[in-house]
Amino acid sequence: MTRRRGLILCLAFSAAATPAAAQLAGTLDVGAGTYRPDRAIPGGIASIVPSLRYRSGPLELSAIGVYSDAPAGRWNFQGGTAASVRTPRLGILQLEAMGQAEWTSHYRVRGTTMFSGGVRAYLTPGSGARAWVGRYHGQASSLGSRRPLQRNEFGASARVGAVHLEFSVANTTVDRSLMFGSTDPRGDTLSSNPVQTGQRQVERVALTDAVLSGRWRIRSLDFDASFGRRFSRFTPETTIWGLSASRSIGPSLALVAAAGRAGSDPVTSVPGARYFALGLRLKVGSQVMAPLPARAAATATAPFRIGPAVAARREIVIQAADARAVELAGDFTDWKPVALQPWGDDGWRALLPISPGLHRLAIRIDGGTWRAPPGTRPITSEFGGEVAEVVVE
Amino acid sequence: MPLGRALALALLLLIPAVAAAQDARLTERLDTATAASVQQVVDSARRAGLPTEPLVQKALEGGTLGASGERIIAAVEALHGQLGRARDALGGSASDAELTAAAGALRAGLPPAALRRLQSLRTGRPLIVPIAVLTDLVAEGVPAEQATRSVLDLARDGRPDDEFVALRRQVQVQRRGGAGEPMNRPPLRPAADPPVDR
Repeated sequence: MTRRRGLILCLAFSAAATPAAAQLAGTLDVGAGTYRPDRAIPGGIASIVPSLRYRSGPLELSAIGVYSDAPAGRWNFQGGTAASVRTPRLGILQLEAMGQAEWTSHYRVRGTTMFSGGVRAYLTPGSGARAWVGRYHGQASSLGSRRPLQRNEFGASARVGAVHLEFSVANTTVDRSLMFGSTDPRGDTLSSNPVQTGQRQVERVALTDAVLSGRWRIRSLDFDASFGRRFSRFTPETTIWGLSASRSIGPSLALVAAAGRAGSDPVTSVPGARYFALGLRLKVGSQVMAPLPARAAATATAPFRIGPAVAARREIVIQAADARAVELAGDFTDWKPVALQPWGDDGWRALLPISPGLHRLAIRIDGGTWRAPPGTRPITSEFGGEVAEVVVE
Repeated sequence: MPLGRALALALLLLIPAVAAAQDARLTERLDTATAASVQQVVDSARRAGLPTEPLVQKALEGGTLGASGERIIAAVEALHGQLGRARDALGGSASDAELTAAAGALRAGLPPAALRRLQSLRTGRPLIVPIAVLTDLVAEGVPAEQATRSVLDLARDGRPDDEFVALRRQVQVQRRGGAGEPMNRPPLRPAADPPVDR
């Protein structure tokens, strides 16, 4: 079997084996603010940002558009789509193939395009943490030239308290083709021959972005923050950051605010900018409260699940790959800790009598603190610890 | 048998019966003073016709989580009050499990009127799952009014319990899985200016 056939079969199996219901989420942000590009005129700006995300089993599609209108008719548009497919988990390993296309259009100026595709390997050791490595190849078109690019990345994410943290490092290499050569002022390109005016010079630009980002919620406020640094011998080193906050003011409406410093894109030569914007977010196509016509089944790989009753007992399975001991306590055990037994590759299992209804419980891994099982919503107990409440059907 | 010996024997027989009235789980897992105080609250609930098992479970939860006696007693007393308000909302016909779920809903900030409305729409059917889902939606950050409307809509249509659970799962997926922007782009960042040569 060829590798391509194997991949297709694997993806087909993944699609068939995952019964999760399709999910469609969309937003439309409309706002105004200030915009200070690195190499253009600063000023006020109005933005419209529609975005859509569709997820069905292992497949995820997303699309976003950003239209900005500045005084004197100076408008810019950026659009992007991405598609990804994930394989089933193979132990702690999961693979993802993805493709991405981005393009820009500008007032009286030719736009840019970029296509890229690649693979990403995820390692999920458990407890909600994961790490990944990825490699992508693609091509960008800008300023009348095509530029092959490749990107290598690695990263890790984990939940620390109420904050979801993510750290990533991405190294991008792009070949730039210049019609009018000039000596590199910093002398760090791979070309070593003197260049004559009018000749075509191909130079290789490399840069590395290291970014730490976090996402958390305080009461009804959702925050996203990122802070990073661009390292490059070719372009000036830049600190890049962003902070956004949103607060629901109605079932489908939220106030959003965003500020930050975006880095320039060396692949398309789009300049960086500082920005601040305030606006409204309309949730469209995301009927959050619409009931599903059918029950969404829990998958066999759910981090925590309670199975159907069999002979007056139910199977409880918790995914905790690196654990040496997992205990469960709840109102169905009189809050006496019950030791779970290893089950499968990274699961832990117990058979307990649990009646239908609302139950309160917590788990403890390796004798640590009591906390909510993975995949459940943590509730702060009156006693200071963390528990969960689950509905058993 | 002399009268004195008969009385002594009767007392000996009564002592275990009195001891049995105290929940053994409390005395085994909590210190003596805390167990006695919790038992008083439990007895009070029993006399008022409220469910007592949630109170015992609350105390045991505190014991397992390592809480102090004062915190355990305070939590049990608070739950006693919530169960009383839940019964005021749902009436005497509500089951113990329904009262327990309703107490959680009131603690989450839902109004008693929402519980009464739900009860009127689910006549003759258990309320546990709808109330639990309603509570969970509010805890997820869905505004109480919107969450109540959605759950009442399902109840009005006579939907089964698993559709309430499906609603909760859907909201969780959308509020957690969909929290990130597509392609990690911050919201409202303006579209960049045209490309420029170095």
